[in-house]
Amino acid sequence: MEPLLEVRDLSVRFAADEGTVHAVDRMSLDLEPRQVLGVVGESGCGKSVTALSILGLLPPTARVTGSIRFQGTELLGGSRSLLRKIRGREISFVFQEPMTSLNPVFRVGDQIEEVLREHLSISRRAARGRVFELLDLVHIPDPRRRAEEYPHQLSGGMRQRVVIAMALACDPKILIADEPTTALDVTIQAGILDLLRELRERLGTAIILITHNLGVVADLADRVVVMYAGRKAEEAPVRELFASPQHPYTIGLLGAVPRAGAKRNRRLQEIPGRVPSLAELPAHCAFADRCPRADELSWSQVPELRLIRPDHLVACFHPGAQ
Amino acid sequence: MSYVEATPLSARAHRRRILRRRFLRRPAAIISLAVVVGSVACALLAPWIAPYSPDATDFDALLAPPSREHLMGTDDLGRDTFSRVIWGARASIQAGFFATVIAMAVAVPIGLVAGYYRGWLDTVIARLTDVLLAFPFLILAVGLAAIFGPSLLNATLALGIAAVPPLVRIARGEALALREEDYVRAAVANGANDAVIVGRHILPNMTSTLLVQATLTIPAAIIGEAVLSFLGLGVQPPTPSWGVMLNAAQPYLNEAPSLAVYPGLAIVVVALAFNLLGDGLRDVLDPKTQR
Repeated sequence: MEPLLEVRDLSVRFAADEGTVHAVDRMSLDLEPRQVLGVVGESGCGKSVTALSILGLLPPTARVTGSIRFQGTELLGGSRSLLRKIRGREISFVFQEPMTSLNPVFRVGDQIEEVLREHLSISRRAARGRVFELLDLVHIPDPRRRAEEYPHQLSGGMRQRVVIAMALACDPKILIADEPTTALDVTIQAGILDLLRELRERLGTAIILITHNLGVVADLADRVVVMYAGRKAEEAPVRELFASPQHPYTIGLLGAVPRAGAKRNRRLQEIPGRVPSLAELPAHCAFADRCPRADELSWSQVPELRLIRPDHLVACFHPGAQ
Repeated sequence: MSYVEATPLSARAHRRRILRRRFLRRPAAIISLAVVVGSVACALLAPWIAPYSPDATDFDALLAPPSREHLMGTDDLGRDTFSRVIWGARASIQAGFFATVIAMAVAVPIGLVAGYYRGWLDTVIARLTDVLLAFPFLILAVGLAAIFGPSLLNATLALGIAAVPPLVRIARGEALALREEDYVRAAVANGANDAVIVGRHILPNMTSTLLVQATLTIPAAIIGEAVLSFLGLGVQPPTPSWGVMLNAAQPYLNEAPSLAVYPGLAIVVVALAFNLLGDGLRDVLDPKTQR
């Protein structure tokens, strides 16, 4: 199947005082219609930068190279008007912070309406009806009343639902959710994840789910990309990845996930060391200094991605399940 | 952070109630609001409030001290000082109000463009503002008024333009801060164009700052009008204005000090009231205020 979104060799560099920061290095992604792609990694691994670059939302100081194609149209280096037509219409973004993602001085209904009227030639009355529909879609009770309320009157979970409603306003083909549940209470997180799953079922929206939480990915994603230090470390279908993780970093991440029903007294495993600075790309495996399997080879070359099983990519010299 | 779940549809009313309560806890703000309202009423209703016409002369009472007929005495032509102080509020309030409107109308768009678009235009505007800020407000106003020629309209224009630089700086600073807000980033991600972002997301969120700034610009312009009129660059005699009255009182400071005292007092009280009101509003509207 022709992918909906095709990211090839995406590199993002920022000029900083300490030299060039390589936030993302030769990243490639494919997203198919209706697919939920999980992008996982620690803070600073480049997952948000990758997501922002898709819609050209990075600050002008970012130097982006590679190719980002949406249904065959190149978005990278696209004009402002092209990007504006894509943003919110074809590809929508849900940010991490529901508390501050809504304009405090306008009613939430008006804010959703604004997105509709930006992209669709639609009458006020029709837009209004669509607003109620959308609020209902994201399970906000009593949409007519809630539409008249201001953001400060809504709880965090409600606000995130409104933000999602805004993102869905024009029936986008792709929804990029950057840590959509991180700022929320655990009980509310589950509700938002259920909502995303349901939206995929009902509307067929493809979702790129960016998170540091493997539990969220296991719950929702079809396919997972694990990122480390700006590069893809491993990519596989979700079952495969959880059943037989190959990259020592992925194994480490899985070891750090608390699991209900696990053996008592089983301690959570942390990955020793820290994410390397991205100021200069190392000429060796970026994970080498934290990796139990690192050897001379790891310290002398950068491991390239390779297929070790059908549909399972790993960038490691010593892959293998534990 | 307070959540208002219990009383549906009343959040606006609720917020208004909180703001009102905060305002009522500030006696200085209440008194200054009363003075401001009173001075505006004087300006609007001068013909009905003032006991005499500002030009009516009473040759039986030249330079008279305050008395029952003339509460603040009379000037060298026998004109009632009390009536002239009330009529003088017109020039002051007009100048204060319209100069501020002019300043806002010029400064806010410039500041928004500079702060939102950044780039070389911003650099040019910011540096130019810095240069103009090096001149004290009154010096700038006097210079401009001298160029425009003496009249209330020209004085107002001069005051308005002289008040532009600090407002540009404030509007620019606010725009710079607001463009980094999450809801602005979210609007960009949703494909909003620049006009929507500036008009619906940035400008509305800086209104409380601008409101407070307006209450601080008005008294500056009121004092400015008095200064310009005193120097002969503003309102021309015989039209009553506090500055004109101060000027006319100069030769008689020994015989009739009340001639200078009352208009001077009017300037101080009204300017102070606007300033204190501005302070009060800033405290009330600041979300970080606790009481």
